[in-house]
Formats: sequence, structure tokens, C-alpha cells
Amino acid sequence: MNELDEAIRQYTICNACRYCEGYCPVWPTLSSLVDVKKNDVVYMANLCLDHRDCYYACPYVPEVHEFKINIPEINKQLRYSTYSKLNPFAGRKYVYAMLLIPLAIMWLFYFPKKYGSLSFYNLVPKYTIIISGIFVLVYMLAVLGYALVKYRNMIGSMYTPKLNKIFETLLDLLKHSWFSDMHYPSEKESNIRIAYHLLIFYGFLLDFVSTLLGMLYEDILHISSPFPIQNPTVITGLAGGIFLIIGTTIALYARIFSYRKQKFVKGTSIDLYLTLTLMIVAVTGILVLVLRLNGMISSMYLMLLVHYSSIYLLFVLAPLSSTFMHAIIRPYSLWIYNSIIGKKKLVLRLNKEQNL
Amino acid sequence: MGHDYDFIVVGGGNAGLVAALTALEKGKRVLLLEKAPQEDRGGNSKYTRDFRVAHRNGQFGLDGEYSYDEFMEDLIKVTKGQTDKRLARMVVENSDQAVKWANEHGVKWQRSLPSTLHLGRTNLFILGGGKALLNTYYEKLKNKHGTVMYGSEVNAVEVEGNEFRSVIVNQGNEKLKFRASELVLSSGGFESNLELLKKFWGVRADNMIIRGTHNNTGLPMISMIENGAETIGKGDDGHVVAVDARSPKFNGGIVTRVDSIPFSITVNREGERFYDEGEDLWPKRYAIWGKLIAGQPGQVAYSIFDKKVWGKFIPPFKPPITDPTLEGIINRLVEFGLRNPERALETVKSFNSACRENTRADHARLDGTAASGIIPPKSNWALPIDEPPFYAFVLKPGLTFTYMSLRVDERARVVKRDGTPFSNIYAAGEIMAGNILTNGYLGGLGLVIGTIFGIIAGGGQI
Repeated sequence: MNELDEAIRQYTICNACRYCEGYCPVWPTLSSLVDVKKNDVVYMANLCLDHRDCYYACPYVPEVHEFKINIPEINKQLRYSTYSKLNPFAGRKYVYAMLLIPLAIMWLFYFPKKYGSLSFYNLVPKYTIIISGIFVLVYMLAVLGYALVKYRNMIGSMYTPKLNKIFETLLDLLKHSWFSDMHYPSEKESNIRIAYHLLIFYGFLLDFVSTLLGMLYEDILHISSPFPIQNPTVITGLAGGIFLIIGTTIALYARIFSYRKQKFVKGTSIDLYLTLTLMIVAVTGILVLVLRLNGMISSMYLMLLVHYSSIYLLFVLAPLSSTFMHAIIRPYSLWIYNSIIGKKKLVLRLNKEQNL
Repeated sequence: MGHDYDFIVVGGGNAGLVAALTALEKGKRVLLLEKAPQEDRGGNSKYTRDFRVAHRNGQFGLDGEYSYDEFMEDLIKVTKGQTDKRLARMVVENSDQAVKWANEHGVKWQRSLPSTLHLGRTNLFILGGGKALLNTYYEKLKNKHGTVMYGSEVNAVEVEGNEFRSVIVNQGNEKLKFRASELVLSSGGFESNLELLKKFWGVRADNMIIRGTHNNTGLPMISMIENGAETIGKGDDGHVVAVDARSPKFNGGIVTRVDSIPFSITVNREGERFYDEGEDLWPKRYAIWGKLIAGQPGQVAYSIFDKKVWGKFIPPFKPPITDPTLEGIINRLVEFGLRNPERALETVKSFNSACRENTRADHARLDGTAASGIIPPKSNWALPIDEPPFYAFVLKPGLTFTYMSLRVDERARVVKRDGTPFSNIYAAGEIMAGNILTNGYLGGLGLVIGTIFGIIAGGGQI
């Protein structure tokens, strides 16, 4: 039985039960269906944030019941298989690995020599950086766009977002709605995932803002880098870097802890490498700053090369990872939920003042 | 004296956990004996979902108001007056205390959503259902240092006069004896004891599906009856609904129920209709169909309908049998035990020609769209079965629980046949629910009874 049929089997049982209806957007969506079909399960798998509430509340789990229900698990498998269908590079990892060759060339070409003045562009010229930056941006957007179009076809026209729900969805994204109290990385509810996800999300945004500020200072205000530590470029960059280091550390810790405590499918190794690479990007970025401020210029150039290399590696790995795909497919799926079901308050809190 | 524990609780479902937590909060040393292994713990409470609760306007986030009197009337109605009115009143008037207790002990709730709307005024739904409640209570029990022994089957209670002495427990191959100064029995009914069912129900038990746990064999209850305890409620009566014949013998829970009957015509294996499918609103009638089917030859029935109504009720855990033609669907039922397909086809055709309306039926009310001139009539929602594809469910009786219980007094003490109570043996939950639900079932009352009697049995105040 393939994953789609298995997911349909499980969701059909869930739809006769509906005890989980208050947990997350997946369940009100399921309640709106009569027959569960392939496109429905693909969409619901991508709405699932892997809280695992439903697994721990289920009397039909594989450990005790012939119905063998484990929705977080089948959803995760479905997400992986969806992502691999959305990904133009899936299954071509080894051909794709050729992209590592330029990295080697970069090292040969740019290995630091003796430089007179202190400028980051002594190592890699500014226009090389700008051109590669534009290239990477276009390339990333192309991969995401391709994925989005394919995903729309997979889930069908009944799952179409409404334009007027886009701000609500962006707000959900910024607030990380639906993210708290997950049974991760153990069966106890915790807020570890929202913590590291917020750190990485905002760390990434801060570093993106830092890059934009850098451009602003150099090309509009004509103030050349490197900037002093009190410059907003450095402050946002440093803050983003610290967020990323803490966030990725917690993420990796949770991943290992969960493997030991919970019986769920493991994440893909590409995502593990991606997280590690992101951590290295952040660490080397901060080290460049530290070396610069301490006047250790030749070490700084070497560190800068490591930093650039890790960024390059990050962009090589990203399109192969679920982490990258989820960054567009999740918010898009939530946008659809906000458009067609839209229920935000599923849990009822009873307290003394209000309604007890 | 000199026992290791003050308090022994037999059975780790809702009632047992409430009793154990209450006793722990009173500073008692508590031992909870649960028959199932840890991953399967909690008995029938796993399959529960809601608390029926009396409330003022808007209280508990529920719609409107539900007074004590209305609640009591509902209870009298479903039990046809067969209820211990004093205990029933106690349950009704403390239903809000039960909800508050659960809330204080960490149970979370969900809002009224599509699947719960029809009970949105009277019943409060647990977020995630009964197993989520159990997980919350077990976690609390652990934090308060209560002792839980899983895989512990109590097969006898030893008494002396009207006092509890010890319980005999099977743990794997070991036979152990535990003593304490007080005992709470919260081990459920005997509905999964097939031998006993056969004895009470006779041939009607042959194809019975047990919707709850396979662990409720009723050994503590039987042992207490042997010790002189008084029972209430009939052994050969219980809450039985129509379930999908493909359901597992045990543990099918909520998903086995089939709600297609008022949308269909339902025939027995001889191809004959045997009861008015449209007699009254489904929430008022679903509970009679299990017994109706148990009374048919082979304890089987077939609910046949067409495209017009598919999607108007919550489907069970497997899709219906389907065929593009009426003859086809009936012939497919032969492999599921239909003996007389020719007669079944005639039954559908004569029903179709007795229908006056073609397309529209309003299931939210008694719409009077009847098929008359046939026996039995279908008094409401009668639409001809003529639009392909055609669908069918094969139905069997599904037993939720039996009404027979241990009689208790208002202090939850088990009462003897001579009318005096055992001094230190209490009962809570399904094992005594028959004191209130002596002949009929009211949705959401099981958890309320378990919680209130659990608190009392654990030595708490309500």
C-alpha cells in the first residue's frame, strides 16, 4: 500500500471519530470532507505542524490497535514524498553535488594573500558578490515558484487561497500561530519547537535586514564597509547570528532527544546538514567580526573565506531539503486554511473570571 | 493495620483515577491496580469524549442554559423512570462540580465544532477525547507519588463480615495479595466477558460486537456479588447500537457506529424491513437499533441507500459497499449473508413506490415525508432509493455496556443484599452506573457519574 492510500485509510477512520477536532487546522478541514481523496490527504499533510497531540490522544495507535493510526507519522512521510515531487533536483543528488566543484575552485582562487587595506572585497570582489547574490536569489525564487505551481496542481482547485486572507496569514506566520504546546521532543507538551523556530525565523530575517542595510550604507549613503560595531548593519547581523546559533543548537538538541524518546520517522539527513551549515554560517560570521575587531586581519580573511564557503554550501543544500520547501508550502497551506475554513479558536479555556 | 497502602483502587479509568487523585490529595497512600499494560490503560474511558453538564446561560462556554430540572427530565425520559432518583438528582446537581474538578486537574476542552454541534448546549467536549483526559490524570498521579501497577488483574475481593480484607491479583504468572484499609472498585462492567454475555443474552450475544475494551470481564463485580453485594439493572440489557459488521470484535470505539439508518431502508437477512427507520429523530432513536438487530435472525441487517443522501451523515470507519445498480448492490450483499436477495429487491421496489416525495427531506426535524401503505411504514424522510450509485452498510449489534451494576448508597459504598453497606468498599464509574442508568443511556453521563462517585469514593466532598 502506498503512502497516499494508507493516508486515505487512516483519515477515513479519523473522520468517523473526530475526537481530535479541536487540536489543529487539519481536523476542521477533515470534518468538512465526506470522502477522503488523494488531494485532500496531501493538503492536510502540509497543514500538519507535527504537534503529535492527535497521536497521544488516539485509542487506535499501532501499539495497541489493529487500526494502526499514526497521523503525524503518515503526514510526515507524505510531506517528504510531496516535497520530493515538488523538487526539480530530487533523486539527482549526486549530479547536483557537482555544484561543490566551484567551491574548491573558490578556495584555490581566493585563498587569502597579503592585503594592504582592510576591505572584505579584497577577498572576493564586490561585483562578483552582487552578481552571485542576484543569481542565487533568482534561482531560489525559481525553485520555490516551480514547487508552488506543482503543489497547486497536486491539491486541486478546491484548495485555493483568497487574496483578502493574505495579511491574516502573514500575521499568523510572524506570530507563529498554532505552534505552541507540542508533544516534542518528548511525549510531554513543551514549547521547544516554537522557541527554536522563532529564533531561526527571526535570526534569518535579521540577517537579511542586515544585508539590505549594508547595501543601503554602501551604495546609497556611500559609506564603505567594514562598519564599526555600533552600525545598525553590524548590530542586526550580530543579533541575527546569535539567534541562529541558539536556535539551531536547540533544534539539533531537540532532534536528537526526540529520536531517543519518541517513535516517529526521522527527519532527512539533508535537513540535518542544512541546520549544521546554518549554524556554521552564523558562527563564522560572528568570528569574522571578532577577528576584525581584534585586529587579527589575516585570520579574519581566512575565516571570511570559510564564511562565504558555508553560505555557498547553504544555497547548494537548500533546494534539496524539506526545510526549504516547507518555507513556502506551509504558509501557503495555512493561507488556504484561513481562506476556506478559517476557524482560529478551537480550544475552549475555562477560567474563574469568564465562564467557570 | 500496618498495610503498605491506605487505599486500593481497582481499575484505572476515569472513575478510578478521580478516586485515586482525591485520596492522594487527602494524604492517603494509594495503590492503583490497572489490568491493561501502560500503553493500553484506561478501559472504556479511552472511548469517551464529553461531560453532560447543567449550567447557567453561557457558563462553560456552552450555548444557552441547561437547568437541573431539564437535565433530570432527560434522564427520566431515557431510563423510562428506572433510576435511583436520589442518586440521579445528586449526579445532575453536581455535574458542574465534576467539570470544575476535571478542569482544575488539567483537562482541556474544545469549542463546539461541526461534529459536536447537536450537543452544543448540553455537553462539554474534552480536547482530544477520553485518552487525553486519562494521560492528564495519570501524569498528575505520578507527580503526586501515587503507585500504579499495570498488568494487574484483580480476580477476587476478600471480605470479612461487611469489611474489606484484601484483593487477589494476577500479575503475569504471579498471584499476589494486597491489603489496605479502604477499597474502591472502578473496574467497569462485564461486557467483554463473552461467556457471561452468552449466559445472560443467549443467542442474541452470538454476533455481538463489543465497542469498548476487551478488559472489562467483570471479575471484581462477580466476586462482590459472591460476597453478598446487591445488584441493580438487568444482565441481559445494555446500551447497544448498530455498528458496521466489519468492526473488530473489541475496542472499535466510536468509529464503528453507523448513522445511515434514517437515510436508508434497513432489511434483515430474509430481505424484510423490520422497523420504522424514520420513527423519530436519530439522536432519540439510535440507541434502539442495536437491540432490534440483535433480535433479527443471524443478528445482522443491511442498510441500503443511494447517492441522494451520501454525505449527510458522518460515515463510519470504512467506506460503504457500492454498486452502480440496485440489483448489483443487493447481489453484493449475498456475500455478507443476505439469504433472500429477490425479496430484498422487492422490498426496495415496494418502498420506492410507497414514497410520495422524490428529492427533499429535512433531517433536522420530523418532516412527515412518509412512505405509507407498507409494513412497517417509514414515517419521515422517506425518499425513493433510485439514484445511482447505490450504497449499503452491513450492520451488527454493538454493545457499549450492560446495565447490571453493583448497588451503592449516596456515599458510594457498595450495598449488600440485606440492605446494609460494606463499611470500606466503594464503587465508582461503570461498575455502578446502573444505579442511575438502570435502563437507558444519556450521552455524556458516564464521565459525570465516574467523576462524582470517584470524588466521593476517594473521600472528597462534593
